Amino acid sequence: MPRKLILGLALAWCLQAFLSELSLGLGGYDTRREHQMTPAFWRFGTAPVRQLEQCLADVRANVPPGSFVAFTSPSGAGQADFFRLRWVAYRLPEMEVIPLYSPSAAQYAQYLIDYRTGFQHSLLEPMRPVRNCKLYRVRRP
Amino acid sequence: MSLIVALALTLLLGLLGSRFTGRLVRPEDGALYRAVLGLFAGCLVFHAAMVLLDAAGIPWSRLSLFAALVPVGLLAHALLPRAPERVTQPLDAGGWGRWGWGDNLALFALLAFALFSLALWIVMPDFVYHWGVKGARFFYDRSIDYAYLSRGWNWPINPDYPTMLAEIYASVALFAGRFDESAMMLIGVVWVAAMLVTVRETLRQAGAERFVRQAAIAVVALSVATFGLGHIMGGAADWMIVLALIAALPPLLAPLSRTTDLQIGLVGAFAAASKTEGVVLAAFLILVQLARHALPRVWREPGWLWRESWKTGLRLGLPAAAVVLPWLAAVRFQHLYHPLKSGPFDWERAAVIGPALLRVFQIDSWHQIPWCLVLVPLLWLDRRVRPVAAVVTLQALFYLYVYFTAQADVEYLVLTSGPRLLLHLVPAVLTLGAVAFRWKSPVI
Repeated sequence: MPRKLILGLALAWCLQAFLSELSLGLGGYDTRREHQMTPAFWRFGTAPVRQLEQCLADVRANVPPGSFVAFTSPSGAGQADFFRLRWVAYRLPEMEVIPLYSPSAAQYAQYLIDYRTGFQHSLLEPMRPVRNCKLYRVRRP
Repeated sequence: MSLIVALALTLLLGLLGSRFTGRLVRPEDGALYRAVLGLFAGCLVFHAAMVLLDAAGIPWSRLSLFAALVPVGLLAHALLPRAPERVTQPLDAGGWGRWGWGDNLALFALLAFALFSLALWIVMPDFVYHWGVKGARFFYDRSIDYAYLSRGWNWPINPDYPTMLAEIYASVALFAGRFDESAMMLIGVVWVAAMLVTVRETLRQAGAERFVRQAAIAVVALSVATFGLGHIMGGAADWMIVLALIAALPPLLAPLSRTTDLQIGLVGAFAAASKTEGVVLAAFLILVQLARHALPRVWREPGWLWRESWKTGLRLGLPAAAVVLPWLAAVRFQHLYHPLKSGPFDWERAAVIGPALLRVFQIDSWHQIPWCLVLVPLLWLDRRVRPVAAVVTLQALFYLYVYFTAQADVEYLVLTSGPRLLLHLVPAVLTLGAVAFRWKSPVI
């Protein structure tokens, strides 16, 4: 009897934990379009991810596969720029995505995606407007 | 369409692997455990084919994959022995294999995890940061793109990790024609489902009574689904480590035999091909099984050590070596190793690691479930489950060792990696706890 009681209590505990996470998960899923999370906690289908994906869809239409593309975005709490960059690299697997802060960017970058920083440089040539970000071609001297 | 492709691919890999597992199956192994062993063998044959095609400079395509795998499967079918017929145990006849209320709860938990995974609401961030991006890149490049992996700015994608999972993702995309995240999530669900059927098989073979078996399968399934939902673990490669450790339970709990050695060898190879933690797990599985052979003979048959132990070592270690050596060569010669990952052992970190681990055990998404690990020292007292307790202990000590040596912000490292590393161990400990609850004569 005691062992059945122990197992029963363990089962009850796990069941309430599961139902609690299920409820949280359903609540989060239902309101996913309003989520405004820091990039470290981004999930598919949330507003910030969809905005970035719109930018990247336009980039893909304008930049040939195999290109070296530098990316910059505002730094922020929780290494926001780092995690944004990881999403960009995931969404553009056919390109080489380099963080603008990498020393390699100056050497390799052929294009620059500026995600809301207003970055300026004399070698940057604006390309056609894209949604939610700016796209530049890097002029080589 | 992509979902059907992912499902079909895993079934085909299982079918292919089943041609190789004739000598790896014991008569008392159930049908679903045989299928899990077949899936392991199929994944490893597939991995070998992908690596060899890549090394030969042949781009991955539907045709090249078929050309590599179909003849291998046909040859194995023609030449290798069939698995022995299944022996129905008296316990099976007593209704022990029947579906029950615990199985229903486990299925419910699995379905919830699957639905959230396929809806992409619980995609693990690591899928975006490295597993997924590698799979998508390999799909785009039709090969293991070492140039991409070795770029200095790509260090966050963990270029030095084993590549089997990324190859599976790339091949699903190859057959589906596009990289679809939901299909990749389905692969993760397959690992979880395989893990749950193996838990069920372990409990059946261990002779756990019906109530214990039903309660235990439900507890394990609800625990991992709770953490999977709360800690967003859809598509995590960690499920492969969880599966490998669970799949090692039947042979580690069974009496020693050539077949159980081969099973451990297969499981170790699968773990090693999955993730870096899996390479270490493979080493511990092999070490513990070897110790099971050697320790009783050290005094009684000292000659065994030099006469026979190397044969046992080969049975146990050859499959894992076949996976690990090419991987190490790639890491070495493609310059993939990240030199800042390991440093000297620093005891003073204990002051940081201890409190951080305490927070990890109490993290919301785990709901206090990892405290079951305090059972591990008690499991050492049970002679039958001691080998598995040893593997769990060694793996936990390895994770601690990493925390004491890694060149990183150790508190951040513990807090971010600790919860998912606990996942590797918790299902095995819960299952072992139930096995130690046995009150009837075991089958194995």
